[in-house]
Amino acid sequence: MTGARGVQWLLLLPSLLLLALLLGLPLAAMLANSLQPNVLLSFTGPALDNYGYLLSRSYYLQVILRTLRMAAVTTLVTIPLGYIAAMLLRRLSGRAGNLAIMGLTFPILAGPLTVVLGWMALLANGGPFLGPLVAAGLIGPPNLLGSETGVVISLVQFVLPFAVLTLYTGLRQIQPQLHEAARSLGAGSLSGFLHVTLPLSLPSALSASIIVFSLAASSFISPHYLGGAGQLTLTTLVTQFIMATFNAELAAAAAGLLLLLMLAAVIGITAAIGRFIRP
Amino acid sequence: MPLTRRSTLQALSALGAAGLVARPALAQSRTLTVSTWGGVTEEGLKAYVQPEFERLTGARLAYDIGGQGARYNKLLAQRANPPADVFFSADEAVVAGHKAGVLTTASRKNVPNIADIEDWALTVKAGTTAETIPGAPYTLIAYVLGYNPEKVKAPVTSWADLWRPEFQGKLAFTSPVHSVMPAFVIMAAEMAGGSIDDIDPGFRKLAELKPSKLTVFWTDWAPLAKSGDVTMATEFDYYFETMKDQKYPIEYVIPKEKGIGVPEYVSVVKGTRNQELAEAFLNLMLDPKVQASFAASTYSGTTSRRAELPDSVRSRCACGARVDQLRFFDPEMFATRRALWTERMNLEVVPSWQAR
Repeated sequence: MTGARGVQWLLLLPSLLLLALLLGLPLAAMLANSLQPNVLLSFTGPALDNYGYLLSRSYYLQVILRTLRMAAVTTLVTIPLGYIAAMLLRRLSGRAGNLAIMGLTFPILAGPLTVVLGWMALLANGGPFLGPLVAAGLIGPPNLLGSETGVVISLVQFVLPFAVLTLYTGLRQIQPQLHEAARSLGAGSLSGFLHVTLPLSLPSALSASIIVFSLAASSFISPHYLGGAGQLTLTTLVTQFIMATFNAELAAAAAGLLLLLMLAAVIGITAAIGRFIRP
Repeated sequence: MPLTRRSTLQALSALGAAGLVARPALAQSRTLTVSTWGGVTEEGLKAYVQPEFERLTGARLAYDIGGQGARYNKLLAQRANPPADVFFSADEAVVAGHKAGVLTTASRKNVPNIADIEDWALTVKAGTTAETIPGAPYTLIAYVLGYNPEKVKAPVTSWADLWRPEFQGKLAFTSPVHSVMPAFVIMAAEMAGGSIDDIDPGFRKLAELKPSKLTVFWTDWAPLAKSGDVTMATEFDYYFETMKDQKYPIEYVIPKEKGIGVPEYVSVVKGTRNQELAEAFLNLMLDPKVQASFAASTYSGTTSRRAELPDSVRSRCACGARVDQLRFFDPEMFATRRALWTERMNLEVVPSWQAR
């Protein structure tokens, strides 16, 4: 190991220690707990029975599938929307750009709970937007509250700023000279986008997708308030086990599954988008 | 004196010095930490209990605020160094807490007001001896049936009305994780010809409902009552009363099969360093005057025989004659069956609720 390398590791040490201590240890304790018997299942621990139980009940498989589906749909809707917004944002200059970014980040500052309570009022059949349409007979009652669609709508809104900011940073890093070069070589705006902007923005699209998917799959407030006990996801299931039946072991197993699935999803997304990224 | 940087600094250092002088006095005075719900309970404690407690004992009150489940989990996680001295909960959590070893009994001699408490309120049997009590049942709330009087024509009188076709898809119903859920399993079983010992018909009967919202707290469904998406709801009486004060379109009835009576307890946390202070607090919560003030401000019922209430309050809380209209379930039985029954609700009932 060279001296410079040694210094690098030394500088990394505090953050690594902090991570190991504050994240690694509790996580290890939780995973160890997930291998223990509990009020519902008696077996001799440590063993994988809790995982086996969750993965052998169709209801829990549905919960897992729903979590993945919601996160996937949210990602598929958010990334194109965010991309368009980031492209527009890049064209705005100076004060207008700053204002737009402030407007975009405002929902994050307001906190997810406030915003979700707003969605609860908006998405009701008798709410201010849908209510008049339903009353006029223009649409049937859409029943968005307590539905997967309602949760996804609010999730898209929640993760959109994160996607836009990530994509915007990526787009800004593309040197303007490259666009000029493309134009001087006869590329139209579409072909310039397809051959210059899009490939160069893929790394930021990859980061944005990972951020959006992870945020959506691990979100709690939207599925709790807009989906409820009828549309459980892994996060709300964990809460049920902890808060209602005080079953920390089964909760830990459900959380372990969530962690595993997110890890798999991150690897999957990286593989899917990564192969289009040129080194 | 004009406010300059120097004068400000002087003032601040004087304050700091005062703090140093005051510190030994603070260290001497003891603090009792109360683990309780926020909102009406916390406000009621601050208004009617804290001044009297501090006057009687010279100790101070501190609060650990949160939902019952979250606070109970804290007790479980921090046994070695308990986060509170007394714990507010429904009766079932008292049973569970004694079993799990996070709650302890109080001395009957230090809680003399327990002698005036109605027998129906003493639902927790474990820990009840000639010398000890498991906790202090300081109030009674009732789980009942509410409806929107503007939208409902035929009178609502019975739990069976939950199954009326007009309410399907317009119903805010008890979540499988709600504290009173086991009572519904039993009552539904009885409606379908079963019983506590023949419980399967209850799950089948509940599966026939079509709730549009599953709730654990009144604010989960209150906005939907306003927008008209919910026309019938199951909820605690004192929340219905709060909603009526806030002009929600809501009325409620105690169903003819009886409402669900839930005594709420305050109990001593095991491992507390303030056992006697905690017992003084329990005694105060059973004081007839404190109970009457609580009932007047929160609409939750009194448990002391000596509590005197004006008629205007009595008619709006689970007090007096209304107690006869309530059914009390055994919290011990709830505590033993909850894990399995919640699981059955999730696996057998919720899937059919989703298919709508």
